[in-house]
Amino acid sequence: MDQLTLAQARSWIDATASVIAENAPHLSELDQAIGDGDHGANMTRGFTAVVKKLTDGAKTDDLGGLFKLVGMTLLSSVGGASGPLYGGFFLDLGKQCAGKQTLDAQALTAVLESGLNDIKRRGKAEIGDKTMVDALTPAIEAMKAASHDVTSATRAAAETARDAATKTAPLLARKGRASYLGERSIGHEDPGANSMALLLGALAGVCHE
Amino acid sequence: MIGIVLVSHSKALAVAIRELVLQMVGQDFPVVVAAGVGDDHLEIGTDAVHIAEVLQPFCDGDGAVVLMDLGSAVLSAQTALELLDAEGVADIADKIRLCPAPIVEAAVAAAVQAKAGATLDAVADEARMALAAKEAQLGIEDSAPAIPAPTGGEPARTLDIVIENPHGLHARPAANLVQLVSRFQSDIRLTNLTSGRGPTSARSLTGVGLLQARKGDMVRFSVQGFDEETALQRLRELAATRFGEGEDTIPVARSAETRPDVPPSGGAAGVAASEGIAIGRPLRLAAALTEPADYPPGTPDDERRRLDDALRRVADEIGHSATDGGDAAKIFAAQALMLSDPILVEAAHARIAQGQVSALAAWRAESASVAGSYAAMEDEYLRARAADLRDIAVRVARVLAGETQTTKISPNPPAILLTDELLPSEAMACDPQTVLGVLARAGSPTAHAAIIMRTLGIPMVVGAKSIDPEALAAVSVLAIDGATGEVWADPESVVLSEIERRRGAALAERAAFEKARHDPAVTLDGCGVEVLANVGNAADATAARENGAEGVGLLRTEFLYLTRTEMPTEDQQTQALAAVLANLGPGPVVIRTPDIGADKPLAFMASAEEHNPFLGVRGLRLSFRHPGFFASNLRAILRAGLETDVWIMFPMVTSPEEMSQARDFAETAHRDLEKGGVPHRWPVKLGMMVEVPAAALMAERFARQADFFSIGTNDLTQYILAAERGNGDLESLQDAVHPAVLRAIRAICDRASEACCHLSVCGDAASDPLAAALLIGSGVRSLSVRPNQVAAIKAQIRRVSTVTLRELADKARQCDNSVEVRQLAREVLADRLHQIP
Repeated sequence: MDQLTLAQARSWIDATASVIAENAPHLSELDQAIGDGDHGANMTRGFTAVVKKLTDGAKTDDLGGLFKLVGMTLLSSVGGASGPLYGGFFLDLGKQCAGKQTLDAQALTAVLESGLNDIKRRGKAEIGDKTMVDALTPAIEAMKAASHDVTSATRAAAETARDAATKTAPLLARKGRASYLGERSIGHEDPGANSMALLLGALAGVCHE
Repeated sequence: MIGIVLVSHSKALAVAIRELVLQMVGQDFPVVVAAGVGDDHLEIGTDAVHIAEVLQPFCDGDGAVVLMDLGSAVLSAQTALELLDAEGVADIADKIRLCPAPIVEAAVAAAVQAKAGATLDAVADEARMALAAKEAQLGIEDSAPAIPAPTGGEPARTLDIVIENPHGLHARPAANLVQLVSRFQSDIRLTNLTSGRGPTSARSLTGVGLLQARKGDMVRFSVQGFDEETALQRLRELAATRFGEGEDTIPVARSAETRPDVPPSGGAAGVAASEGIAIGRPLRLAAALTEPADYPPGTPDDERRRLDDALRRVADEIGHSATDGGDAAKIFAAQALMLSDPILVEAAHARIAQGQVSALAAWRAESASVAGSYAAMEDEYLRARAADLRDIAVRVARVLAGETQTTKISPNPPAILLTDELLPSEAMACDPQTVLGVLARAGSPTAHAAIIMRTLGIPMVVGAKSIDPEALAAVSVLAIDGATGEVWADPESVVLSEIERRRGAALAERAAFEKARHDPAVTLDGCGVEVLANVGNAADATAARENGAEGVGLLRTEFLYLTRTEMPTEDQQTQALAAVLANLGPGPVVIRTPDIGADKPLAFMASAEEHNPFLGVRGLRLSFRHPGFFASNLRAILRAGLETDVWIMFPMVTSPEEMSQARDFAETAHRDLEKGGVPHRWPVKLGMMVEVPAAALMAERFARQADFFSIGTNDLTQYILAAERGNGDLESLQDAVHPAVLRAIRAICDRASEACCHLSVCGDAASDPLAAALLIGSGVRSLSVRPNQVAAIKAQIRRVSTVTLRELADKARQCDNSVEVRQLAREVLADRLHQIP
């Protein structure tokens, strides 16, 4: 597959909403270990609000409009720090995609990288801080290395992110609520890296069909 | 004015902080909540879009300091600024400051500075310094703000003042000081001469707080500048009012500390705590009450559960008592907090976990230890809380031992109770018929028990350290004077007859005054005036009945809503109203639908920030915007009023169609109840407050829609004279006897009488004998007054004739201001004026 279309992007959001809802208990369990235990509930609330807006017929004429709507909705409904982070991420995607109906693999990679930079800037996080950045950064590297079709690029991203999320366990948290735990944060996977992996997994899923 | 925006994960938290701030700087201060997430922002989290919406008006206005709790609150606030920027809002950087200071301390410090008219940077700086006072208090030095040495020129003028505020220059008086100081150009510094702290700028709340000026400390103001003369004068005036705390503080001048142990002639001495003279046999309170007995412990798990159940049960009972809004409610709310204090509860849990101990024994030991540490505090106010804790501990112990609530304390034959310290729940249990008085070795007039005894009218002397309870219990006659703190044991017959004479005189005075309280109030020329009571809770209802009110001219329902964080259900409203109605005697009861908004915002109902809340969405205006809530209020009134002659009154009615719309709401409420087969009262009279000048000016248009009018003199005065009720600078314009207001009242009386529309006055003016006389002279024949003023107002009415009063009112309307009116009234009424307040 050469292009991610508006319809697929819409399916991506729907798929993310369901996979987040399915995995909410798991995400919250991870968050209970090193945070305030609400990541699953927060993300579910956010994406449920997004899907409701879309099914209620919010107008999204292009990828830019779609992602902007997702971003604004997440900002106002997630509640935790992932609200501004994922919200800002999608707003940035929206800005990059203004007026666009499709993205090829290269453009998709560039757009996601820009979103990653927004997360890093906003959260003041670097790789190794035990955050969603630890899942998204290697995923984008993997996309760059993969062949120039959307199906294999997103599959590479999803697999790498899944793996990277697991590898956040031995890291020492330096950002957010988890950083209060210091050494005790070691040994638990980061919930944000996990939700990011789910998001990229959902993307690979719709690009595979 | 610079505003404050509170960004928090929790709306409840932010609303509570907002309340703290408003308490400090007044209800009109722009402090806005941007907190919570989800529907109505009731879930925990932050919402960047919401924050941006809240911030936007401040970008167009004077700007705001944003205070945030933690984590996503900071991220969301930053994101909100980006959203505003993306929307092209100008001046964001100049108008908005995200401030890293701790949210509670900073909110208070920043608000005071902002209210004083400081710039955005100055407000933000003050907020950042907000931790300094706490650091200094905890002995973490290095935090005192240094101020530069005074510049040259004329030497500063000084003013030395001894702090008389019971709790020192604490936050509220300090805030009043800072606000006053900010009006002057002069350099004003403050030094605590007693402790050597300072000098500090008197413009900084934090600086003033750091001086830790306690009661008895001498402080020095150094004032230098062209307006120093006026500044010194105003400072002197403010200090004379105890920095604005003068009236609403319970006096502790005769505290246990300052009273010598040396007995005066006649007997031992104590501290006056509740007025009145008691003569009778002494009885140890302990003899009337028994300590609950311990029992064999179960497993640690069982005992822990038993303790938690007992704590929950007592907390529920307290929660129940705490809803009636009176003084007692505040006491119980403070006690409820103690029940969930982790230091106490966890210590008791730990003791239980060690095994072999009952929940009762563990609880008793730990609560005694915590109460002991309160009792050892230096601060008298904190020490007084030891009694609260002991009291709540006994309640929990009784539940643990399977006993029910404290039974009535009713000695037979009647007696004066002797105790170490009277606990609040014991005070509540005292039967005023048989408990002649109370003499306690410890306690203070500011303790909750003393407040309750004053309400019950039982004389009490506390802090009588020098007495020996065992010896005293053996005497045959004990006498106490709760107004002077005097105590006599087995007084000689000469002394006893003097005490009896004193008591007789006091009782006769009161009796003459109260004897006629249940008789109708008729003027000298035979004109009857109805005297009703204003009631705000169940205690008022009892007082209204006992003081001879002929009905209730205003039942405020705000108590149902103001203290709640969640909207009460229709059933809850019905029950709370029914409880108040049950305490009332016969006669009509005018129930006003919630007058919310303005100075009485609700925690559970989002309201837009208003520049001028008294001119904003309040009263009926607010009710119309929340039709579901309004309908539940009306249904609750109709249901609760099944057995009562209930009238429904709407506040803040401005145009006639509002009155008819409100009628429609009431009729719908009736139809809905009827459809559901719910018993309720119908028909009822439907009327309105006349407090908006529009309603006063065109009263005849409303008389077609309303069955009755009640004039709210406080608001009518504030709106006619364009002088806000709470503004201390405008006192001369807050008097309802102003000729302009009297003219309006006269006009309303005429229109109401032409339309045969019942008219009453329920504002504060009706409770003031002088103003009441002018109201009657203006044609008013029904007054609704504070419950404890019923007898006094009736007495006033009986001393005058309507002919005199009509002439007086006619002349008063021709005066230029309220001062002239009062002077005129005093001349005309002279000795016929009852107890001028």
